[in-house]
Amino acid sequence: MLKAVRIFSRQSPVNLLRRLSHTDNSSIDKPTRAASLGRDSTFPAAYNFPALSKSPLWLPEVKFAVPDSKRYKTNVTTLDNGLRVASEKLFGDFCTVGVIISAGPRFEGKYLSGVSHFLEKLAFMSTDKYQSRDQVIETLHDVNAICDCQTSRDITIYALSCRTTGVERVIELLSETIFRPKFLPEEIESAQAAVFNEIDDLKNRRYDPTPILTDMIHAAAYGNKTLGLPKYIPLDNISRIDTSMLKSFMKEFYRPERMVLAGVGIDHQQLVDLGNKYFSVPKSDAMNIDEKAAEQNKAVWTGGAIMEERDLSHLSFGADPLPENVHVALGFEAPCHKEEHDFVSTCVLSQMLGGGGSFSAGGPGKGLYSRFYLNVLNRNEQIKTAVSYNQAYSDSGCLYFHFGGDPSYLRNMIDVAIREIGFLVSERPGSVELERAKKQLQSMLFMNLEQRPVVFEDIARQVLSVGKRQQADYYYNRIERVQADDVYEIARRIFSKPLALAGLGKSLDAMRSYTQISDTIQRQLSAKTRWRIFG
Amino acid sequence: MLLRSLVHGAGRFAVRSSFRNLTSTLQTNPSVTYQQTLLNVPETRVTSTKNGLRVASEDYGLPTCTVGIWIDAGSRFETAENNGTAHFLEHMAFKGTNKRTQRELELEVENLGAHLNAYTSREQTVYYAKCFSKDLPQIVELLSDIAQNSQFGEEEIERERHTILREMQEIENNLQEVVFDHLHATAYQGTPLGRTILGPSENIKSIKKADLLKYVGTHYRASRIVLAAAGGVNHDQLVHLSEEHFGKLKAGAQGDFNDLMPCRFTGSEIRVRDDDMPLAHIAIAVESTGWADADTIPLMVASTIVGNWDRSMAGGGHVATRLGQQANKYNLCHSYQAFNTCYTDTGLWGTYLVTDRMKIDDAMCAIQDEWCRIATACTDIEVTRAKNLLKTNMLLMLDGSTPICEDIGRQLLSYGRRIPLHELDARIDAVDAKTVMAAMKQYVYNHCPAIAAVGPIEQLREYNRTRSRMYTITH
Repeated sequence: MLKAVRIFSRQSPVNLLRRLSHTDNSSIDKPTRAASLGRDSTFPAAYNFPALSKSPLWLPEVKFAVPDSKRYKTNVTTLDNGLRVASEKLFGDFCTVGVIISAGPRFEGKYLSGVSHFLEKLAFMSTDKYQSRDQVIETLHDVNAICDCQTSRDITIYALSCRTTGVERVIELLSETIFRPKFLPEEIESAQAAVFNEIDDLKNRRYDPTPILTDMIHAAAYGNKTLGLPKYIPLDNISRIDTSMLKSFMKEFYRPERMVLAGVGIDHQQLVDLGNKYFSVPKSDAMNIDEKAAEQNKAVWTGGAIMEERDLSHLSFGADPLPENVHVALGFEAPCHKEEHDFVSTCVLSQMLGGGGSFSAGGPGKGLYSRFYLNVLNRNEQIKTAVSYNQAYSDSGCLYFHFGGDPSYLRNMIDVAIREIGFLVSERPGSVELERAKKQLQSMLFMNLEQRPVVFEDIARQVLSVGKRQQADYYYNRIERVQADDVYEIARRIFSKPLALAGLGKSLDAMRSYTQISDTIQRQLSAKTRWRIFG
Repeated sequence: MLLRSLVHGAGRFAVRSSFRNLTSTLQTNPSVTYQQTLLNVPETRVTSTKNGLRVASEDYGLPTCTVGIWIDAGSRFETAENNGTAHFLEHMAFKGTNKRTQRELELEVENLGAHLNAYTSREQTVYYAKCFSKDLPQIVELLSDIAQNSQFGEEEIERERHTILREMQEIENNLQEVVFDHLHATAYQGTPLGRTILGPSENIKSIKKADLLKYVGTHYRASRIVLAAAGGVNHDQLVHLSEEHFGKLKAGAQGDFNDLMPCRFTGSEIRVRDDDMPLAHIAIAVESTGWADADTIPLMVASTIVGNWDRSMAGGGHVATRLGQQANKYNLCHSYQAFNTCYTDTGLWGTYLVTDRMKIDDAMCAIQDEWCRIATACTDIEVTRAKNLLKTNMLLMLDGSTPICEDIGRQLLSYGRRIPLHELDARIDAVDAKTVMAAMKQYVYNHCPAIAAVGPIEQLREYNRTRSRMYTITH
């Protein structure tokens, strides 16, 4: 065996701790291990630096910033063409800017489903000014920027994070990619490959089917219309979507009055000026058409069931594969985010149900004392996943529970879900669990807002839907005010709505019928029969 | 709307990363002086307390924060007999202390809206929490309780064995994890770094309370612990809390560190052929530098030139790298990713590849040709690009108190200090094509690689053939 000699011990021991320390540390006399970490450059002719544990002596003295815990206000300005510009200052050297557009799968009714998914892959490609993708990348590198385009059901976001010094260039890039893309044939081709590969990975390689199930429950809930249109492109449409369709979709929806240009970590006046400079496309005069279209696009909750019988056994491989699961989702219409009080109560309700996987990463704090952990996962070994989701939109919302587990346990899984609904509609939550859910929601709010892109998205979404932004403190207080009665009442309201049901996996036939399940849930709402499940 | 934001859970699994471990904000614009640029970053304050425990923090004035203890101990400090103990310990940390039962501990954290997490890597063990800044004192006390007074009840140990075995199953299903474990097993064969973090199942089934206590007693010493925090943190308060709650921790004798054996690298391969699997997963790597070696920076730039690519990125994704363009053009693979995993005195620099069974040879050829090209003929333009990209990746990673806190803790253990931004900047800026080629010749070109391959890998060439592609003969 090798002798236990530390190979880096040839370096002279320097007590770095002493140099860095702010307090007396005279009790540490011996050099620590840190003192002899690392080797100096082994090819000093080309690169002459000491080990990373040692500071090169020639570096200049620097001065650091002192944080400013003051909260900044969000400024909002509306430009002449209807574009709203919103910004907020933030500590740091980097900024995030982007555009949020009221466009996405829900507006694809008269187009082919998947246009938005396609556009997502075509973001930041060549434009009138940027002759090729390479030039776009070059610009990104120059200002240390990364770009991203994301589509959710009702919204499309184009955003970049970059050094504050490079903000003008990225805003020009944003305007180019949104208003003047080229869509070269080879770009369309690679977008086709990209969406195909993404769906292939989702369906055939991912053990967790959550994204697919989410599409399914929305389709069932909204009768395959508006919010029920798929986020992921149906495979048949891949070859049918062409440049002219993409362009006409963009022409209809990528208009300044449907957009917000938002920035975090940037001066407001600068952003307004840049907005005027690069986003001064004329306002469209199609207001009437707009109103009519808005009417057609109103989300209508229909309820219903969508089942997909599929063998999921190939999703886990290796020497000791994970068991095959069956997945169901039960959805109910929840308040839209404009009904603020009810919306916040629903969030608390969903947080209280919480849940997760029977085997998942994370320690205490992940919601171990939420109802889906205590009542579902801890008591039913066969159930592997139980999570509550609450997705709110501008005119509707979807509260749904994802349950996954052993296919032979499918019936029981549904019974367990219904029993939980029964509890919610028959008694008010206890103060301890309610306070815990509220506190967790509050902390989640603030912790997420530590990240600049999250702040950006929050500003952009709020300004797009209501024209102004409420700070986190505002929501903190709204959550604080939620009472047991609020949660109870909202639960009774939500669960009286028509059920949406989605199933994915094998032996779905074993499940009770939609009508049976739906009726049993309705029975929970009347006090007399509330404990009876199926018969 | 605010409430729609997603929560990102932190993984409990081994942490593997290429360059995410480095440091904080930098500046590139030479017309701006350091002084002006750095005004936007708070100082990392570092204090050593009486028993040698280091306290490091950055105050961003936020309402929330991340605080944790970074311990210079991981699976590398184990023997074949007790391999898995460090990880087992991490699992037992939340199972109750002398002061709190498991239930009390869990409820305390949940009711504060805080999050407690832990992970073990080959060289480090970390326990950290996210919480409201006002709850910092309570959370530091709780962390100190976990580190010093964990109970290790027999019953809990038995229960946790099953959890860990299940975790093992989960990891075995993550082929990237599997391949990297094999890569370590072959590259560091016969040394502690070759063992897995979880340990073999026999060990998981047999580890006892005494093993856990012994490990804590030996390794959880004040001089090997860093208490790090970022977010809304008052450094003086943190130092005070550290003295109050960690003051009794034994300093730890110097002799303890002799158990860090050098880990010898062996050019070699492991093949796990399974034709039923859809794709081949292959990692190829050479021995690179330890964390604190100056040469690590040029190697990271070289790694960025190799880059990464995934077929679901449209238009070849953000492909500026040559290899990515080739992967896209010739449909070489499903994805590839350059990595540079560092340890105290050694490291693995290489590329991880997922590809179709009939494309293995083409893809491996392309990777090795690209390595040789970078070693012999890389250009200043691509180096400049890679330097910019490296900075972008490192900087944008540091968003939010948790990544910053992790960076602080890790740097204090790896470098004994936190590298100031302008210094890291200077170290990256000084890299040019000549430097990259020198680094590649020093560590990659004509060196023996270690290879780990899993899946339908019949097409993977015999080791000596692959070895002979580590250099080029030009006429």
